[in-house]
Amino acid sequence: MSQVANHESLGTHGRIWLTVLWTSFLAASGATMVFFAFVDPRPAIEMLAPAAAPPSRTALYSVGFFLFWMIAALSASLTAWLLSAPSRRSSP
Amino acid sequence: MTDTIKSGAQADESYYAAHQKVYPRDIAGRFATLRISAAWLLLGLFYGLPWLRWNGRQAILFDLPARKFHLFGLTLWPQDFIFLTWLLVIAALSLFFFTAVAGRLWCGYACPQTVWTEVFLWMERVTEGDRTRRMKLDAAPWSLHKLGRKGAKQLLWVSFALWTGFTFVGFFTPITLLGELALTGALGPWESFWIFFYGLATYGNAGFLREQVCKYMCPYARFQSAMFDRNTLIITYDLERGEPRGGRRKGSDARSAGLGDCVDCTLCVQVCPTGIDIRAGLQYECIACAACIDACDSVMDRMHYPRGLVRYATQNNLDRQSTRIIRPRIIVYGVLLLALCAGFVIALGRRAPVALDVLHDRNALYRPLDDGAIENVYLLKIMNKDAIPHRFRVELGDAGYRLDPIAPQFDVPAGEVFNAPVRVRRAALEQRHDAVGRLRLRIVATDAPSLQAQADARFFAPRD
Repeated sequence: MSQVANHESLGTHGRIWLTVLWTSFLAASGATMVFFAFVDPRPAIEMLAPAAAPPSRTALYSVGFFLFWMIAALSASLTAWLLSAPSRRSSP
Repeated sequence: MTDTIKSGAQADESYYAAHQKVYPRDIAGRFATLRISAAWLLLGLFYGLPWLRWNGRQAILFDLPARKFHLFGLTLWPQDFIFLTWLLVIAALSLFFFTAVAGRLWCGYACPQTVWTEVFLWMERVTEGDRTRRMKLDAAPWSLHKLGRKGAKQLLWVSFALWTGFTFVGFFTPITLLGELALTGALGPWESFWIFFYGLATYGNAGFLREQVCKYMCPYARFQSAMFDRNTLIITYDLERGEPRGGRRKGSDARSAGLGDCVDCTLCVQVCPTGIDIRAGLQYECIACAACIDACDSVMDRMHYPRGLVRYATQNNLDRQSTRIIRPRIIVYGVLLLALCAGFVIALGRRAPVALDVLHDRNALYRPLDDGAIENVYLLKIMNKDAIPHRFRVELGDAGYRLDPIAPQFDVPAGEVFNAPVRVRRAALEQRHDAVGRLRLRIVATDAPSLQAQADARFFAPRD
């Protein structure tokens, strides 16, 4: 192994993961913005689950963002996985 | 100057091998000055703006918890989402326009990735020394000296990244409050999380990923070439003038030795933050930071050659043809951009400064009164988007209905939503009509009758 700069290397797999996370991050940011511009999560959550101390909007937005990110990342990783052509001779 | 290209980048022996760490050499010059000025300006805006006050509150505050955006005197509501979209379209089109005219100006001078990388590189230089020292330090075995240098760098990086995260969250939560909470250790879980998240992103992007963000992650880097044509300003090496390249003694006649103007010092490669050789022609990795121009100019000066072997030029210019700035592409982008900007300003100016939403009382559809009349209760959401407070009078135009009290008034502060309960009655005589009636509620500002809004509501009554 080289003595230097290994931490900088991403490799192909690293790059795919990074790209998946990155594109889905962008998609999730857009989705979060559009969704919460039209939907106020506070009354919705109060109706669905009445609680003494309902979660703050910041918490709801954040959870919403991560949900979007997760869904988008699933889709992106599936795309990446299907695009990597399977080898005819399957490796052991 | 003695460094060769190969020593400029250390190969990494990962299985998938490809990435080589880039050690950009520091360079002074016209474009470096411009780039650093731009960085100061942009960073100043980013770190300074949240602290700016305007009419007793933070000048720029994207108050997500309250669902309001404050931009100086302007307050934007979720209903104004169209303006945000519009603004994004304008931003995208400006990017197209400037790319078509002058290439990747955005990448070289304004992109946060470039700007923060510049700062992180500066911190690296302060703690680890110049390019040669940094390469030696990386190659050297771990020692107290290396630990000290690297530790100092990490300390600077981490603190700066955390401050960046703090500032970022300060655009969404009032920053003075955020500061107090941080100092007293009373930050909420989500505020802390986003500070660390954004801090980590800054640290990773500017400290480690750097040019890899531009090469592998940035969509713009991939499609910007679609906006390029022969009249676009790009950074190029004048092949005709420079080749054949080669070393020579200062003052010697290169032409008689069959050499071009390039002395093959590789300085242009050493200063490149993305680690490419501009002499190989236009490459998508080039972020047009112009560091190679500064480097080459400094060498040309020393050799007493004219500057501009590496320079901003168009393809036409390089082919010794004239460059046309005004061309169909530019006209189309420019006209669209102007129209969108004008439309944006006009639409923003004509935005209705008040809005009204009417919600029927959730608990009871109607209430029969002692005198036989029927009462419905509504919640009026009065939105005062104006910059000053107003008093609103509620009016009801429809015959057969009346408000109780007759003309209720509500004071609504600037940029606030006021929830005003109102009661509407229908006299007993009218009871034989349909079970569901319709009525129109209107609010009028008492100090400015032109400020008004109206909304329709349904009136429920028992069926006979």
